[in-house]
Amino acid sequence: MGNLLSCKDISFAYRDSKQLALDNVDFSIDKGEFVGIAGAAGAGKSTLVRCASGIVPKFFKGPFSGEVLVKCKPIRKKRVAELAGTIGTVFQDFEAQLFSTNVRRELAFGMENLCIDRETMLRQIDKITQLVGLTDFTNREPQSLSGGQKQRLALASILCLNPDLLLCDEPTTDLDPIGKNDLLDILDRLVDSGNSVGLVEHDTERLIRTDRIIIMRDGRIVASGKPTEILSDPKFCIENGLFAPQMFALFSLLSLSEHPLSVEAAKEVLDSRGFIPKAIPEGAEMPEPGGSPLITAEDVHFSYTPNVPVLQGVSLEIKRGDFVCLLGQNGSGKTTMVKHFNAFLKSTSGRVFFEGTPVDEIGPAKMGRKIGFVFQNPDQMLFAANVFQEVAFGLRNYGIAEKDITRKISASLEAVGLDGKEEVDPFIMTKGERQKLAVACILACEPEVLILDEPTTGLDAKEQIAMMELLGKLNRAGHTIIIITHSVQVAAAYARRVILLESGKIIGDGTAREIFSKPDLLSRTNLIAPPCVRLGCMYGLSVLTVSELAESIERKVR
Amino acid sequence: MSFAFYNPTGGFFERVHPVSKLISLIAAFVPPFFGTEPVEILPYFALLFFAALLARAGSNIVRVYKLMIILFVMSIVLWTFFYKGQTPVYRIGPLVIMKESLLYGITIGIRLNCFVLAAIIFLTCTPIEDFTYGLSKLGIPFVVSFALTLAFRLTPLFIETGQAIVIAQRARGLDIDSGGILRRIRNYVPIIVPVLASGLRRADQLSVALESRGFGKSKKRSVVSEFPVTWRDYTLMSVIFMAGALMGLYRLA
Repeated sequence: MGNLLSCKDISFAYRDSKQLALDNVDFSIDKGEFVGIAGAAGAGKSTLVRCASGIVPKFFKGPFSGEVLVKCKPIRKKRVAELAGTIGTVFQDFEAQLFSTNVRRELAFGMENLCIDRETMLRQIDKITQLVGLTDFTNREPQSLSGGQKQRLALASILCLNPDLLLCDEPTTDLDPIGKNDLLDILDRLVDSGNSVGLVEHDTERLIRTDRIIIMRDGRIVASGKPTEILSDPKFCIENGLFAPQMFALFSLLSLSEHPLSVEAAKEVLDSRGFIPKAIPEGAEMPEPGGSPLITAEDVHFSYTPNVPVLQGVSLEIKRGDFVCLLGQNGSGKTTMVKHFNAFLKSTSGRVFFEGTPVDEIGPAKMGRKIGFVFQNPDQMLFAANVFQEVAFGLRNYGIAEKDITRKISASLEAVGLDGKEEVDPFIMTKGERQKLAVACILACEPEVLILDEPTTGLDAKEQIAMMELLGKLNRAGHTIIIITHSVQVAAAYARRVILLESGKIIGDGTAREIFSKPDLLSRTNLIAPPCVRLGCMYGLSVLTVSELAESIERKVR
Repeated sequence: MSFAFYNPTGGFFERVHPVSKLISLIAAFVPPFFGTEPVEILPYFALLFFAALLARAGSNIVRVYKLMIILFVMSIVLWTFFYKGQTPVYRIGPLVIMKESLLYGITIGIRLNCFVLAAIIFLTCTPIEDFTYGLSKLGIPFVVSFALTLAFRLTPLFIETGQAIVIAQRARGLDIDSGGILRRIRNYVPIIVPVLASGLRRADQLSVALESRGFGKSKKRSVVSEFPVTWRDYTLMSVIFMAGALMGLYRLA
């Protein structure tokens, strides 16, 4: 039996790009196979998916060679629409895939195009909504759904066409852990029922559940095989923009050859090898800042529409020089909360103070200099023709003298590692670089506080480490850092203080160690502690990182 | 927060067949032309206003009332200048305002607002898909009718993106309302460029997403919704026809 999908020796370069996005790639997916596609940013993962689904070279033009076969038939002459029903593709940005006025119509759209009769459509909608857990939502407006539900709807709208092969291009990037889990569970069920899935994904904790992984680098496939073989070397993973699964990384640090797929399996092996806990190494704690209170919120309530409270009495105090992480699932009120800090939003009741003065008296224009805000999507602020002009924009708005502007720009670009790129057009930079540029733009104005909304979303492992180390450096240089994230790994590894939000209320506030040692608190917010933290808990150790855990357990000498 | 006009209520207007709705909308634009004085056109405006309230379009009217007032005032100002009359009513310096010009301006102002009300009722009670379906049943190819109605789908998204971008740039110290006219125009560059860029990106993504779901695969297409023709269709069209006939007869008399 031949492969369901087979890409033979394909090469492609995007028009206007000198580099090959794909370079002689051979790739296949068998019937019923679950294949993970991973690699650093710009490695060619999305291009591979686009080629396999015919989107390249039909929508993205450029020199293309090689052959893509679906069910042994070349797709070169077929339009993308003709492949619907054979290959289904789900993309990262779920907003761009939804355009109907209710869930039922959204699901029907594809079937209507294929001229499927009404009775069959209704049956299929019933079946698929059950599969993705949207049965009670068929009359809802897609825009009113949560992020996780929207992405499940985008997936369902493709599944309604009964594709033989489902390709997913980073579908979980913008989702919180629970949204991610739900979506990946659906993919597992699909594979169990005989479908084939190709999944582009950064999260290796998830990729270990696939049948096979390919790793891409510079447009080539550099490794292909079972997840336990491919992901067992942490160094190889990082080189390819991935964090190794934490249990694999731990076992590698402990020089053990096993590759446990779960925390429980890891504990069993460690027990059998006689590992016991010892104390957490000294000096692991970030010191508490002794500074004065900078931001104070007192019983803040807020709602965008009447009777739908988003914040329900939030009170907190943030000290100068702290590194704070606001953690919570999508829609828990994190971003809404910080928008009150620089008076972008006015609370329905309660007040926010900056150094003792109410922020609404200072006003958003002046607050911008005191609190710099880096939004989740850098593309919502970048507009200038080059990097220099982009950074100069804020400085000029604040009336900084031209002679100081160049100096400040150099300093901020150097801080984020973009020095020497002053003349580059921001639109051709990678997502990681644009994110750094956004930070530089804000940093140049020398605010006391930096707030970053989801600073690691969409970045590969190397870029994530670079971004978080940059923030650590800025924090040590005296900046107060507040990050908003739903990534428990980031919060555990980098934040000193973690504030846990759930439905607009603070349900936990303490050092990262305190918060992560309370699994029941995390589970209330539908978050799950990172595997190393959970394994640490089993030993009664409140560790935060893999290396900390490796140093906190030892083999009992018999 | 939703910026779309459609408000699903399942009421009378929503359950009218899309084709009847489109025909009624076009027909509803005709009677205002029969009224040449405020007294003649006001009852029709009142009828539309009443219909708008029935259609639960109140919140949408609140959203566009400023536009309606601007249309009304501009129309009075313009026609007072350009429409010749004989009976002076006011004298402001060298400017003489004629009664006929003023009344004509008011009539045209109400007429324009009649169009706005009719369109609001239609948009409040018509899901975009039904709009597209109606157009294609009237003979416009589906791909074309889909593209025509795409503007209505995308405008709310554009507004949302625009708002997010305004906040992001204000956070960088942008004061949109500062400076003279030229400066103010320049102030909008940091907003317009990201809005356009994100619009283009979205259009790209949308075209891929649409084709991935078989859009344009064949000319024939099935529909999941059912649109029975009922007494509502006949009632709606009869009311509009009667309003037009009454106004036409009054005009002739």
